[in-house]
Amino acid sequence: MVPIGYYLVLSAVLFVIGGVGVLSRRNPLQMFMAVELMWNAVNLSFVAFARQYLDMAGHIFVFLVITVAAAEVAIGLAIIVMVFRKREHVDVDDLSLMKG
Amino acid sequence: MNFPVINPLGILPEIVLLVTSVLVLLIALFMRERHSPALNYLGAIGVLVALGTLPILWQGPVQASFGGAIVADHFSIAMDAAILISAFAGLLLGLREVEPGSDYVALVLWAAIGMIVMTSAVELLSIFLGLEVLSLPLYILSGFRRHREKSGEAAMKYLLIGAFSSGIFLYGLAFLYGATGSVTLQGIQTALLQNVGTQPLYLELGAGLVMAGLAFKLALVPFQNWVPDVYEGAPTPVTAFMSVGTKAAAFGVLARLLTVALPAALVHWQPVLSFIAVLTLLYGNLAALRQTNMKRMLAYSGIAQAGYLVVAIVANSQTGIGSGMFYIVAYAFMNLGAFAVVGALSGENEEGAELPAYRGLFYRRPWLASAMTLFLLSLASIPPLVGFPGKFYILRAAVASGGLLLAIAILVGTMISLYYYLRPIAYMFQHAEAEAPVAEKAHWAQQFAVGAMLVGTLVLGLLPSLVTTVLQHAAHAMYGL
Repeated sequence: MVPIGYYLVLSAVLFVIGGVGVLSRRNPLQMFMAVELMWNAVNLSFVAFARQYLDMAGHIFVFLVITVAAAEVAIGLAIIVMVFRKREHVDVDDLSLMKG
Repeated sequence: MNFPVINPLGILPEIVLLVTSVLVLLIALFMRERHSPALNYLGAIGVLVALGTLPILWQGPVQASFGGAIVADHFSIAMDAAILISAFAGLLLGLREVEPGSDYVALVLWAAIGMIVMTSAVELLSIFLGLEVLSLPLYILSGFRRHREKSGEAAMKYLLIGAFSSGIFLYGLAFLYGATGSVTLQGIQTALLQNVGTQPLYLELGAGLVMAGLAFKLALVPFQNWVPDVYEGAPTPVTAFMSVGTKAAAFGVLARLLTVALPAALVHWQPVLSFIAVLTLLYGNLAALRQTNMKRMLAYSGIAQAGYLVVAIVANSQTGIGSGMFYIVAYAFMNLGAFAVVGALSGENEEGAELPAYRGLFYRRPWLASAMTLFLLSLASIPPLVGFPGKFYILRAAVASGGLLLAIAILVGTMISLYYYLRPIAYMFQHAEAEAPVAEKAHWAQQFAVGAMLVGTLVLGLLPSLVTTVLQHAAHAMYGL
């Protein structure tokens, strides 16, 4: 059996890749995909811990996270479309009406 | 296989709000006029009914729903009152500011449900669900004025940062689960106290990430960057509702998490949170000094208030939690009132939110200007308004638990804040040289909201004991478990 540490390291690497992606990308769609990667990295951790403790709570957590992520994507894409319908190209650096 | 007991009594306010929102959506289908204010009134009545269920729940025994995942104890009932008041104000203020209609009402009600679930959840899964049910409607509501570019920008920023911070929060929950093998706060506490099979590294990671995730929602330094932009860009009623409701919900979760689940890790989180509290209240007060937009100024002032709330949690005592709860109630009245006045003065382009629009306001709109003066003085904690006892109780709790430096930081922050709270007041009583933009007459619902908040600010300022005994009792629920 693969030790739990392997899963956790993989999950941490995916989470960091996602986090760096959010901070470095400037296209909201790519940033949103990076956020999804973070959420799914967390799911892997949950399943790994649930397997370790032989406990169902972690699995249920993952199901709910997937559901919530789907809702979040639906709303997120709608907002991105709404904001950039009027604009030529899609870049969050253009969103700078408010400063200070 | 036995299924957990659902027990609808424990989620009575949530059920009332949900039924109201479904009713609103259904009635809107059969109405000829799509943007009727009647829907806002119906939503507001639903909120009042939900408020009415709170005293009934308070008198009865503690109700646990969903097998003990959601508990309507005295702490959550008291926090729900503040949340429902802000939802009520959000619905009334929305009558003129945003297009009235079923979608606005339903989204506000759903966000309120998420907040209530958050304050009453005693299990990680329910906390996460509450957080998301609160966040998703608020993303949409911030972008509700589609024709204003700033509103869309606010929605986008809130969405990206909110989803990012939820990811961090979620990772923290995973580590708490990994450290203890339990998802209930009580179970985590027991596992940590018995110290059986716990992993200190996972625990520290988990607690740190969860606190960082909540710090985003509560607007604590260094996770506060999004707040001013979102508060400025979102429609004013939404800003008012979210500034109070989100803070109440995040305060409830943070307090419950730290006092119920993690008392064993007190030595780790107390110094970190004290440091963050001082940074937050100093940063919020200093950055507010150079704002010329009222909504931005109130946003930075909100960051400072979040710092005071964290001081109340750091005190880690029954008086501390009680003082934090009183401050939330006080903040609800004075902050909702201030935003209500800003909303009443703003027209389509929100020119009323800019500071120059307040020049000579007293001579044009004496009642609104007087109310605004009282709200700002209360935020600056001048007696006999509600902000003063609020800050006094937090100071007392901080000193009682040995946090003298924290108390000094609060005093310094309050002194700095006098400048930016008093400046708009000085503007209002100056004679205007040029003709300032005149907003149309305030809607009666806006006037009613301003009046109601003013009554709360004055009455609780003069007689804080009306609620302090109740709140101390509520704080006891946290430690009496």
